[in-house]
Amino acid sequence: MSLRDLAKRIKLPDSYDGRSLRNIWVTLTLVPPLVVMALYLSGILNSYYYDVLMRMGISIILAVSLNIVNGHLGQFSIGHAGFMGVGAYVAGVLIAGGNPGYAGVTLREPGLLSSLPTFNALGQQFSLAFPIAMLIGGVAAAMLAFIIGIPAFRTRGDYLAVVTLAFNMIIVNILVNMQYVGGSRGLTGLPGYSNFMWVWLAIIATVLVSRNLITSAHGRAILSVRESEVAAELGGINVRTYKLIALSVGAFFAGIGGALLGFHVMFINPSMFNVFRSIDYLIMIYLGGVGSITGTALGAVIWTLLQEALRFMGVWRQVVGPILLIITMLVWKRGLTKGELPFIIAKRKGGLAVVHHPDNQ
Amino acid sequence: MSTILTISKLTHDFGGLRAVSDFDLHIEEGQLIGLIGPNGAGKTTVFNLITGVYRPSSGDIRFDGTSLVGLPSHTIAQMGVARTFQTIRLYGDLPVIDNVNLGQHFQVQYGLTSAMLHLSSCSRGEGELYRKAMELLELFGLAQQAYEDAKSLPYGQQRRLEICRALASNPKLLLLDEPAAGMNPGEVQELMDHIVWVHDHFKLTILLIEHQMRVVMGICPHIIAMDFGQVIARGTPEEIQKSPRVIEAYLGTEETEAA
Repeated sequence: MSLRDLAKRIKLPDSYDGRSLRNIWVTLTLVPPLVVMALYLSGILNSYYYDVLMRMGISIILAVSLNIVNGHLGQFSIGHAGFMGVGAYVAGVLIAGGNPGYAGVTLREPGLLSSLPTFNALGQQFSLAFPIAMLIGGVAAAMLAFIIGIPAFRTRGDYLAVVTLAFNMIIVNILVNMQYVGGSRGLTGLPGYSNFMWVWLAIIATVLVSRNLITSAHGRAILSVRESEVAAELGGINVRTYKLIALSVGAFFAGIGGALLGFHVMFINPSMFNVFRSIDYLIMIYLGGVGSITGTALGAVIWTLLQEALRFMGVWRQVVGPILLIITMLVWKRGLTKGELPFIIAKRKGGLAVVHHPDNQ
Repeated sequence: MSTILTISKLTHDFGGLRAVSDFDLHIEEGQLIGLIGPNGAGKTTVFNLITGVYRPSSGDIRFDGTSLVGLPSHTIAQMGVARTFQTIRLYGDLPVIDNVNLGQHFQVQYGLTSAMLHLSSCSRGEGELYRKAMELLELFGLAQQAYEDAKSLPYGQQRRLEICRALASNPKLLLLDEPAAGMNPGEVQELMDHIVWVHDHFKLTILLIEHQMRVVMGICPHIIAMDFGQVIARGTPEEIQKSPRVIEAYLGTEETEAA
């Protein structure tokens, strides 16, 4: 069975057809994380591989959410890691608290959510505080995106690239100089609340929302901005509103991803969210196929694996990776999936039309 | 019949260049008016002023009794002014039917949350949109190509799709910017018949820009001729054809011919 056949088989009949679909989603939501956790706890999956899986999952969330802006909206955002950092720090402070004193003083005031109940299951520590903090982190990132989007989208053109780049740098600098969150040392000693179940849930949510959005009229309006801003505006579509929506939704999931990363590695510092990380996500989406949800997720997987596989090269990894990217782009202009793979979620072309096509009804 | 569009003393400057100067226009409901003039006469600028792309330097544009000056383009479109473009501007990578759906986008009933969670209001709303879009595509003979990318259509069909998309917004006034540009005489004739059909079938008010005079002569009972941003003649096709200023604008005076 070729990959294409497989894709057709997995392709869902869309939510208009009830129960079978719900079963598929329930299975997809529950089984993979349980399998991974079981393998991890039984020692078959060692902690290195588990760590790679976690980073891969978080990269998928970031890449797929960045694709809403760079792929579907057609604007160029370079500051995705900045939104990620906002989510991570907000969640971090809410749970682990900040340092109200001076640099070097380790006295911490407890986080607002630190008193919420925790329990242990499957060898993991779960806390009610974590999903709440994660959501608040995502909302904070989305709100910041909305605020910087207002001036960035005032005029037509590529201002978003400049504004998001500046935003990313400003966020990092603010964090470095903010003693309350530990300055350049960052926040340490975060509890390890993040695990593969949360990551998997977040992946499902990101992919599902992204796909639902893009196969709806509102997503279609986002696509129309990419296709022809002038025609969209003169056709009665409030272009600026849709730009703000796309940027905010993308930032929301970036914030979630940041929180997941912070509570996985159990510390956060400003350099984890600098422009270079943003560029990593850009590479992932252009490698996999910008505009395609499947493609960008695939790009995240491949890039993460490649970074690990090339680890023996040391610093040269930073050279070989980009060269491979350039070769890929030369051979397949639209990335590895060529924007063609009719995969689970939404084909790059067509969007809703694919879902509503008579063959799929 | 009531007045649908009133333009009075409309003037627009691009830096030192006066593109439109003291332009007046009254359109009654149901009229099919041709706006002709040589290249650079300011015809498209008038369209851009009506649709809010530019803000006029002075003058007023009233649509259905409301002034359009200063309103954003999407609001003007939502009020019922639809337009097409001189160079085709379709959503090329989207299927034909989505192009039409985007034309009726502001009539979408369900909200963003419903869209992101695909609630039942979303699928109901989409079903309704698709049904309407399909009806329109059938009227325009494009139903067969509904799921093809817009950019893959032949030129003539792309023109028709653009008009179809404009009509999907259920406009009161349709502005067509040189719909015959780049077409051969046979295609032009077909398109003009089509425009007359659209005008009758949808009981629309249409303002049509064209720089080839003969194209509009056959279908517009009332024509306005422009040159250098000013109206140089108004009247029936016969009156326009006889107007010395129109002849001068199109052919030049004898002295300039000789020179």
